[in-house]
Amino acid sequence: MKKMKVVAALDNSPVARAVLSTAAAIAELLAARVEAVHVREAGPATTAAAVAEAERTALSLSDGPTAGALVAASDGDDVCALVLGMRAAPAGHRPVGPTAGEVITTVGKPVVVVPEHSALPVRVKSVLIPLDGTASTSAAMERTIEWARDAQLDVHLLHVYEAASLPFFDDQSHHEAPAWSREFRQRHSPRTADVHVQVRTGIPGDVVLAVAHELEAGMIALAWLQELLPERARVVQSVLALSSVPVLLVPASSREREPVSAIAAGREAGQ
Amino acid sequence: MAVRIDRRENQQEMLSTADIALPKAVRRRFEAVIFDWDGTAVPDRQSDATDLRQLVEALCQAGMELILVSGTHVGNIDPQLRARPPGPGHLHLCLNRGSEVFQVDEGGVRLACRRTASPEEDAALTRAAQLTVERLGRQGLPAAIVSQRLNRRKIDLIPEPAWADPPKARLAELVAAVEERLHTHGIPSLAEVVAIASEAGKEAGLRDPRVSSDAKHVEIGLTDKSDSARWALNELWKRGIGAGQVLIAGDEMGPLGGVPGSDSRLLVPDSARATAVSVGVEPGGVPPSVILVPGGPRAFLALLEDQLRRRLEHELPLVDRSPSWLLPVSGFDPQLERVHESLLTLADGKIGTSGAPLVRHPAASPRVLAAGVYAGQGPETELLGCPIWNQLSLPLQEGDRLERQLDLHTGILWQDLENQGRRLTAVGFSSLARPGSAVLRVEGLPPDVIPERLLPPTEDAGAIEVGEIDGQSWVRAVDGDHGVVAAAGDRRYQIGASSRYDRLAAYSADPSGLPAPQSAAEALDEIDRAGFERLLTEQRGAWADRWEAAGVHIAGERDLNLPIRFALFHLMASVGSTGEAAVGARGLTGPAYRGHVFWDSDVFVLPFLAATHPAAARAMLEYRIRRLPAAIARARAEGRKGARFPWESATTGEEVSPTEARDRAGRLLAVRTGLLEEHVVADVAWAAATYADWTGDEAFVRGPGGALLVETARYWASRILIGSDGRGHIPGVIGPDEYHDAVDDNAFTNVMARWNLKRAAAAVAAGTPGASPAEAQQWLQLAATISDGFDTSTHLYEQFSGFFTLEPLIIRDVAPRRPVAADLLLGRERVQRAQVLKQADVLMLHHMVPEEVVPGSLTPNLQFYEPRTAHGSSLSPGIHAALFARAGMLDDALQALHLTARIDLDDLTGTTAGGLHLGSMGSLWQALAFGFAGLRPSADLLCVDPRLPEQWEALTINVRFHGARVRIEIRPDQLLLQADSPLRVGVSAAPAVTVGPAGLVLRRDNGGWEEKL
Repeated sequence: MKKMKVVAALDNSPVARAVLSTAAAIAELLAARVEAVHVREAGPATTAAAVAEAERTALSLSDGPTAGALVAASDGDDVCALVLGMRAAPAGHRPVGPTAGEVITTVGKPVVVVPEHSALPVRVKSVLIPLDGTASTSAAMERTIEWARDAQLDVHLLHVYEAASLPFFDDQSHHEAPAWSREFRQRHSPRTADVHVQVRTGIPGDVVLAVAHELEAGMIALAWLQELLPERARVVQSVLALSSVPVLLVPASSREREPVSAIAAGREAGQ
Repeated sequence: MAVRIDRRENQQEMLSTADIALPKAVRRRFEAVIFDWDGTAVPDRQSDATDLRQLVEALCQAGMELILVSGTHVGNIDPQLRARPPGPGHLHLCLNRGSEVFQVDEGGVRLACRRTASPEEDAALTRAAQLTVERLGRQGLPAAIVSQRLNRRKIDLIPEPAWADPPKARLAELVAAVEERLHTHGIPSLAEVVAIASEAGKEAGLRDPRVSSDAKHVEIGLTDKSDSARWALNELWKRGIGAGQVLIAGDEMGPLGGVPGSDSRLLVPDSARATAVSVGVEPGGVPPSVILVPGGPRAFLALLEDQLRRRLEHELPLVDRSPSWLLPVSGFDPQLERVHESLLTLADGKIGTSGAPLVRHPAASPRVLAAGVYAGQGPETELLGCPIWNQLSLPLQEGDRLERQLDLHTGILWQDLENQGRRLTAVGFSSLARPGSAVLRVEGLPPDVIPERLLPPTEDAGAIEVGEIDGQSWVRAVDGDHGVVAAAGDRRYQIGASSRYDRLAAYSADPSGLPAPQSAAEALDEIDRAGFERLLTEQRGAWADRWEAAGVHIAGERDLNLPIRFALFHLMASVGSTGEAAVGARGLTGPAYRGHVFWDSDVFVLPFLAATHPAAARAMLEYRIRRLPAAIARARAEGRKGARFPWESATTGEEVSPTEARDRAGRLLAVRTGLLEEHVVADVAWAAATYADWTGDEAFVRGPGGALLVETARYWASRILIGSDGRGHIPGVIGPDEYHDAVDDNAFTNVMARWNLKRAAAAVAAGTPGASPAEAQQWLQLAATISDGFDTSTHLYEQFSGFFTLEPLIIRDVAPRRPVAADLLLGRERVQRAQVLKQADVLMLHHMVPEEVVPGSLTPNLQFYEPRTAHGSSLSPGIHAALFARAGMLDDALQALHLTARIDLDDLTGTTAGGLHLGSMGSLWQALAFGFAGLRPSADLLCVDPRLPEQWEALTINVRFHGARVRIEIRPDQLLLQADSPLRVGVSAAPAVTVGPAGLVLRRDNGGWEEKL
């Protein structure tokens, strides 16, 4: 069977080393190999080559435009993830640079976005997986959760209540909390019981970052619809903007949740 | 009951009807047949009915209900039929054209009911017949009154020897002859004769003359076959059979000479979902809703033979598809599966079984729980997982189609599954008539699939023991020295291409000992001897009987009736009627809350049962009574007297609340409810008083119920401190509003303690032993001192000492929506510092003990406290619906009622997967009964004080009061009261009236109610 590979997109920026380190960490977890690529859109592979050489990793070169080349590089059946750096302008409003932005909204596979100031070498012992409770998010993250547990990572599922999504009722908290967590785990991690469920209240983006810090998570994994517009994917944008650990983005579909059938029946049956 | 294959092919001897081809619409199992006699079941009244008799008796023995309808009298029917069916199915004769009903069984024929004409009605009937004959005579048509039967008069339109007794086979000729005779005398049709007779009846003073014609005669009566049909359908409903399961057979469904056929009167509005057939000649055709099965009585016999064959061949019964009684779950959604399983729970008060699919799936959570049988100790005590009776070893796979429907009227779960190209259908139920017994019948189980284990253990079960007795397998779930044992057996039947499979299981549960496998094996033998059909008949009857006593219906309301029935179904199913009933917060519907018993049980669930099925309420109280010694021991250990019941209770009656636990964020927090939520002591006393008030059970009050009242009062007497102000105070408690703990003088706790002292003193004064009159006097003196926080200037009760000084935070304005868990929204510390309530606290007094609060104080306290209430407890909306209704704020009441009705159906808590919220279900009933209907029991009077929203056409509630079954129907301007034995009813502020079986109608008049004359 062909060995799967993790593609590390190295540019000539300071984040290149963290990208390669992250790719190596993920490849180890997946029992995959790392393939480093550099796109020569803006000159020769100076830093990228040096980083690859330092890590004794072969560097494949291709020609730009960069985003298109990276999308193409991640296209193979044997590519399980793409790792790239954020490269947002420090004072800019966008969480990622335009190239990274184009890549993460295009590639239909998991993409790991690595912050510039990641602690090196990157070690991933635990992963924080925020879940908003929708079927589409859970479906998107199901394999990620399985993979993470197979890789012996500590998996923390995080659900953040916003003011409008707070539970209606909390009868006896000491009974309610375990019952709710058990069911949340069964709904959103049906095949992997050995995960932790974390619940917090607040603004999701802020809470995700705070909990990642609190739990010393090595990575944050987020499902998203690959829309980087100003009013969309606010959690993803917040986390990408401020995370100090790699962020795994997993494409989700926009499947809507169907109502509980008993409800519909109850509403229709009148007299 | 060992496994065996029963190949029954063509074993049933067919009578001489093999040439009758039955149409597809009737080639299915029916549960009851309503049939006409003459022309339908027999060719004439002289013919031999031996074949029919044998069929009738065999069908009743196989569980079918048969109702014979005829215009003639019993003296004509019984000698010809001579059936003496043994049951479990019943035979009824609805005779004399709707005026009499007889029940027939092995003991003979007994009159069940008879409509008797008054002398005035009798005279009017005679006058109507005379007028009809006169008017026909004026046209030159000789006609004669030929008989004066019960409640009717019969006029012969063709009194000629040739047509003296025409057989049904000559019906077309008869119609032609009569019409020719009518035309000769200038009467255009038979319909004209009927019109003349109807007019004559009205002229003679009959309010609703029933005129019918069989072509030869025209009859004027007080009743007709439509009365028989209505009685029959109502009787079947009381036996748990809906119209959709009924076959109606006649031979004159179509018109005769322009007049509707006499059997068409069997097609009443309530029979719309029934299947109607005609076996008659039907010269004028049949109505579109009627299926023609030509062949006369032979065709009818063929129909009955087919029904008998289906039963003997173990065909599955179908559920009645009445949408207002059926809870359907379509498809299989792994995410919501456990929610669905809770909603579809089957229970009999003793065991509860989740509505998991018949086949296996990782997302399913098949589970059986036994009432009051726990595992573990202390706060970790939880309901013991029991062996599961309703699972097959087949897997549910991708692409399989699954439909489940719970029939709330009979407690039967229907499953229909397309599994890998094969179709499996099944019915299962937990026997309400024989608690602890479970029944499963499956159609379509492939012959090569051998159910491996009849009683697989629950996934997280503890110690399991297995064995066999006389070929029956048993499984015992054990926790230390107690447990649950179940025995099961199965049978397979191969009927031609159909494979049918029955499984029976019997459970024996013992909270305090290890039940012997023999006990389950014997119970299994017993239900095996009874057989599927008898168990099914009993199940339907038991549930229908419960509904008769507990039904609630809102006319003119689309969205509430099914949710109300859903709630009442689970309330009834979760509580046993014998011994003790430990009713946890989720009953038998799920493992959440570990099965611990809270005040939910005493205050929210019990009133419904006290008012509808007192035996279950008594069993709930028995649970407390048996734990009275533990409550007394706790009080002593804490330096008090009397009894202190635990906030959370399980096996022993000792406190099983934890002292610390992790919240949703994983933080370790102190839990002080077990230490401080003392109002449960008075709540238990209130439950005992509620039961006594509804039932009038004086022996209970003088016995164990009195002990509850006395020991709880004694507790408060030792708990209340007399302060320097000379007032009684209770420091350091948690009230129902659990957002504020360790508060002093919580109004709810103090007033409930006061009520407890007074109620116990009254019981002692009335003869309850256990306390001296002097002690009772001290209780009254103490009660008079208790501080209740009432401010005479504002008419507000202060929820606890210092509440009014807290931050005035109006959660209605602050929260994005209500209900909301405000402690999660604002943080635990913030809500402690603010005037934010989790649920009704002061207002709970207005709900539970309105006589203990200052008159007129409901509205100001409701206006003050409700906007400050987050309704963060699922117990809150239902109580507020009741309070809003009492205050006349009906729009708010309706909004809260609708919310309460959907808590589990919409999984508003996110924890319905762990079981249903019985407390909120109980509050739903209380909102309707106490809030909208304004029902209140007292020592010798049932009070009714209705508040009907303008959107509703009527609210009907059935209750039991002091042994009488009472029906209360509230309409905007009318109140109908009926009781099966005389009782006194107080309606609003009007003087009490006596209500009996004849019923009483009151009309709204100037804001009050007056008897309608």
